[in-house]
Amino acid sequence: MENNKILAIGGGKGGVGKSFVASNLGILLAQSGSKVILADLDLGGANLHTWLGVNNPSKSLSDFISRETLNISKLLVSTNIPGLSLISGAKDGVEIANLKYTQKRRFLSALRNMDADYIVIDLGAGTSYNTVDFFLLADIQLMVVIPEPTSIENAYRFIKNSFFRQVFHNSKKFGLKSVVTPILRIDNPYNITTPKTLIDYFNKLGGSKTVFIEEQLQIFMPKIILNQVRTEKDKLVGLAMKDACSKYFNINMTFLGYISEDESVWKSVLNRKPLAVASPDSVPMQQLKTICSDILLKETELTSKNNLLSKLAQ
Amino acid sequence: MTPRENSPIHEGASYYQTLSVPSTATLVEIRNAYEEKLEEAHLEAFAAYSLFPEEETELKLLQYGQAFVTLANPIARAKYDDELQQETPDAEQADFRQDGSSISKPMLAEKTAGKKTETAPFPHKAKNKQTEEKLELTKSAPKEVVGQTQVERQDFYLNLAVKNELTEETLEEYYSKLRAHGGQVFFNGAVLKQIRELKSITLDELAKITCIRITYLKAIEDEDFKKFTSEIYLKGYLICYVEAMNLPLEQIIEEYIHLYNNHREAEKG
Repeated sequence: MENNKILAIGGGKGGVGKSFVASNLGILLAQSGSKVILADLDLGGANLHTWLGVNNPSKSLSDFISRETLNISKLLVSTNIPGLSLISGAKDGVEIANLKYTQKRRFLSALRNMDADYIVIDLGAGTSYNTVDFFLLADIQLMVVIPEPTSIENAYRFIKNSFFRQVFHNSKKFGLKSVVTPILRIDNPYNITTPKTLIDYFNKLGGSKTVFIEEQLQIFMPKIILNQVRTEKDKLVGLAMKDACSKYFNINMTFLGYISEDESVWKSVLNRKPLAVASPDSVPMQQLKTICSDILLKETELTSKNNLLSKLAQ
Repeated sequence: MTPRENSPIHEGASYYQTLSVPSTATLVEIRNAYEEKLEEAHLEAFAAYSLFPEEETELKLLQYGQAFVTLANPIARAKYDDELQQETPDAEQADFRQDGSSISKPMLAEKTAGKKTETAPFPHKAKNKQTEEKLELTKSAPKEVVGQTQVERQDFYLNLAVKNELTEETLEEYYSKLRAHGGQVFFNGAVLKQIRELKSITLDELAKITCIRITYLKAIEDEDFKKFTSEIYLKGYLICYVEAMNLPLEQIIEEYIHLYNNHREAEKG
C-alpha cells in the first residue's frame, strides 16, 4: 500500500491548536470520501481521543513501541465518523519520549503499509529530534502557529531544527556525513547558526555540496497555518513570516492561510464534539476547508510534476 | 539628522521614496505614510521575532523618522525640495518610483488595496510652496493636524527654532546642574519633560508640530509604556519628539529604550 499520504502537524509551541487542526482536518478528509487514520504522537500529552469524543482506548501506541502488540492495525479505534479511525497516543510518555531513529522508522513504515488514503499525525509540542524526525518523515509537513511572539519564535526554531536534522540524515546517503557532522555542532567554528549560514557554507564549498544543499532545500517544504487570528493585523503575520523565513533562513515556506478565533472552537471541546461535526459551517471550519483543499491541490500538482519529471528522466 | 548632514539623495532613495509618497503629498498623506511605515516595521519585526533583525529595524526607523521629520517641516521640506531639484533635474519623475520595501508585494497590495480607492490618486497639481492649502481631513488624520495651514505650520517651526536657539544656554545650565552632584544626564521621561518646559514648549504645540498625538507625547514623558503597541512605535514617536526639540537623538534613543526594556523585563519577571 504505497499510496497513502502522511500529513504531520507540528509547530513547536503547545496550545496553538495542533490537535484542533489535526482532528478536524482528518474529519474533513474522511468526509470527502477518503480513508483516514489519525495518529496521536503527542508524546506525553496525548488527548486526540478527547478531541474526537472517543473514550480513552485500551490499546495505544505504547503497546506497539514496547512490542506488546506487533500488528499496528490492532491499535486502530473506530470513531463516529465514517472512514476515520484513530491510533491513540501513548499513555505514559516516559518510555517513548526518547525513541531511537530506527524505532521511529519502524513505526512510520508500519503506518505506510496501513490501508488508508491519508494518515494524519498530531505531533504535539516541542522542537526536539523526536518530534522533528516524524515531521521530516511525513509527505506533507504542516505547522500551526498563532500570532504571538513565543509561538513565532518556536516556529522558527522548529523550522531550523527540522532543516538541520534533514540535512544531517540525508548527508549519510550522499556520503557527506563527515562534512556535515562537525558543522552542525552548536559550537561549530564556522558560525553556522541558521539555515541561511548553512546553505551559504555549502554553496561556498561548491560542486557536489552545492548540489546536495540545493536538493535539501527543494525537498524541505514546511507549510504554515496561522491559527487563533483575532484582528486584521494578525492576518498579515502569516505572509510576513514567509518573508522573514526566506530573508533570514533562505527557506521557502508556504503560508496556507489563517483560521479565526471563534467561540465555537472551545465550545466544541467542552462538548467533546469535533467542530467539523458540531458546527461544520462555522467560520473556522470554512477556513479550514479552504486550507484543506489547498493542501490537496498543491499535493496533486506536486505529484503530477514529479511523475512528469520521472517520465522525462527515463 | 538634517538633510545636509546625511543627504539621502546620494544614497539612492529620496525622503519621498523612503515614505512611498509622491513629491506632491500633503502633510496628512505624509503623516499617514509614516504611520504606515511604522506599522509595516512593527509587523516585520513581529513576524521575524527571534531572527535578530534589530539593527536593520533600527536603521529603517531612523530613515523613516528622518524622512518624516524633514517633510513635515515646511521650511526643511522646501529646502530639501530645492536640493532634490538641483541633484536630479528629473526628480519629479523619480519620486514616483516607489522604494523596494522588504515587505512582499502581495502583502503591500493587500494592505493598501482598500486605501487606494479611498484617498484616490495623489493630487498631481504643480508643487507650489506658497499655496495656502488647507489640509484635508482624512479618517485617520490626527486632529492636531487638521485645520493647520502651510503658513501656520511655518510659523510653528520658526517659533520652535527660536525657542530652541534661545534656550541653549539654559539647557547647558540644566545639564550641569544634573551633573553637579556626581550625577549624569540621563534622558528619562522626567528629564525630557523638564527640557520641554525649559524651552516653554507646550505639549499641545509639540503635538501640532510633530503631528504626533498628545497622548503619545505625554506617554513618552510619563514613561507610560502601555500606550505603545511595541518598541517600534515608541521609537518612531520618540524620534519626532527628540528631533523637534533639537536634542541628541542617538543618545536619547539608547537611554530611553533602555528604560523601556527594563520596564518590559520587570513586567515579564
